[in-house]
Amino acid sequence: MSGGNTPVGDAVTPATRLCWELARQTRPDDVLIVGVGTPLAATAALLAREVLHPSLTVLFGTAVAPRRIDLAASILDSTAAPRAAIGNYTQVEVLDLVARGGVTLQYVSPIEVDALGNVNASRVRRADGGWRRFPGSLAIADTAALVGRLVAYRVGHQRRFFPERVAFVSGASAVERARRDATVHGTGVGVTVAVTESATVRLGERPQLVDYDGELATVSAEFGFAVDTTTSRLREPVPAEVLAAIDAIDPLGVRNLEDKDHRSAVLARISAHGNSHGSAR
Amino acid sequence: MHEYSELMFISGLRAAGIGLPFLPSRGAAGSDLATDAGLRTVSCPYTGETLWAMPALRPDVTFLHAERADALGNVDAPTERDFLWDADATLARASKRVVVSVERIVPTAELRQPTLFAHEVTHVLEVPNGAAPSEVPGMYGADFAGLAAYQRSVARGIEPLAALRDAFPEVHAR
Repeated sequence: MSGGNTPVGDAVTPATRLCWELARQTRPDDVLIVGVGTPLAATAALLAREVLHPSLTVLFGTAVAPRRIDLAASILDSTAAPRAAIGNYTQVEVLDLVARGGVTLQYVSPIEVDALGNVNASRVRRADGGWRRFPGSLAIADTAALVGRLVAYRVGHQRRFFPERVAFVSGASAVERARRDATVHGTGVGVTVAVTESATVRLGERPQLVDYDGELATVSAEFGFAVDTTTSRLREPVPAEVLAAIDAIDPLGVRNLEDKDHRSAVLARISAHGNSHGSAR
Repeated sequence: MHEYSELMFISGLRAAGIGLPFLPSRGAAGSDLATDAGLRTVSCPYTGETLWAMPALRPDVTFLHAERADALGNVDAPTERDFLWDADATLARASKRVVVSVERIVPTAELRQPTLFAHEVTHVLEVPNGAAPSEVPGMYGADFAGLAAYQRSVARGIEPLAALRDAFPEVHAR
């Protein structure tokens, strides 16, 4: 199942819906870090700062509180975000910040997230029993233990994103950590919420469907674990002023790069954008 | 083969860089990465807190590419800095030997802000366009079309070195 945004009109892509739902997960005093090369998460962070919490601190990788940036250029040019920032940490400095509990929120887009909030960004089992490895989980193992809270997201509300149990624990939930390494204390609680274009679910020992889009039975059927739906509610349409803000932040729709159905079209637009500017810089 | 988290990796390099056998950390707790890598714990002698002991990573050799260096091996910081610019020095200072290729070897007086110094560098050599098909920020960008072609070839099962040769014939010719 994908899409599912009919209440808000044809112009709202799954990535656009996700940007708003991710933005709504922020709090005014958050220090929010988003990874490099995740334009959907970047758009959501800028949107949250623009329309919800001006006091939000946004880190793009090592770039601190960048002004509005050209997201298309940032895909082609690794110095675009650093140039737009107030200043920049080094890699070591930003890891130190994470290690001392200085980051309170991170958006992550793993391959799988399970009922407890364990995430897998490393590998999945092939049909022949071997492992299919992905490029790597980067700092997810660390941020799951050290960042205040993580929100997992993915375009494509599908059962394979929500298994009962992940095939590999790249980043551990608080429950998992307590079971395994009760003696090593982190400063964060791991993934507590997962968001798709069709649903927001609170994870833990008793997962709860917070809200959804479309038919409740259809949305619930895509979870590989039981979810409590007694307090679930239908999502409201994305407000018009929010859609306008998203268009202003990301006019080329680079956020849709994280949606395989839109990837080719977005890459063509990014390439044309780079050519029209002579270069990415 | 083990997958390391970013903090496991950088902590290991930093431990080697300061000549210690490990660095304590709270990263990667509860993950299969920590289990697979066989991480062990230590107790803080002051508070009793239990922490991971991230083992030192000491590469035999590190290869780096930079914009400029002098013939002695003093290496300038990049003109434009991306999010990983400092990782070169972290890697170099953990390694037994360091080989640095540069776009241009310049007189020492023309260096702007060296961040890696001659006594830390084993060899320096001039290789213009040496980061291709990747980028040197501020000098040239990555060849995204070539990289995409390489990825498609490997995904189709073509042997990686052959795919590399096909996607980047000019790099291979060097």
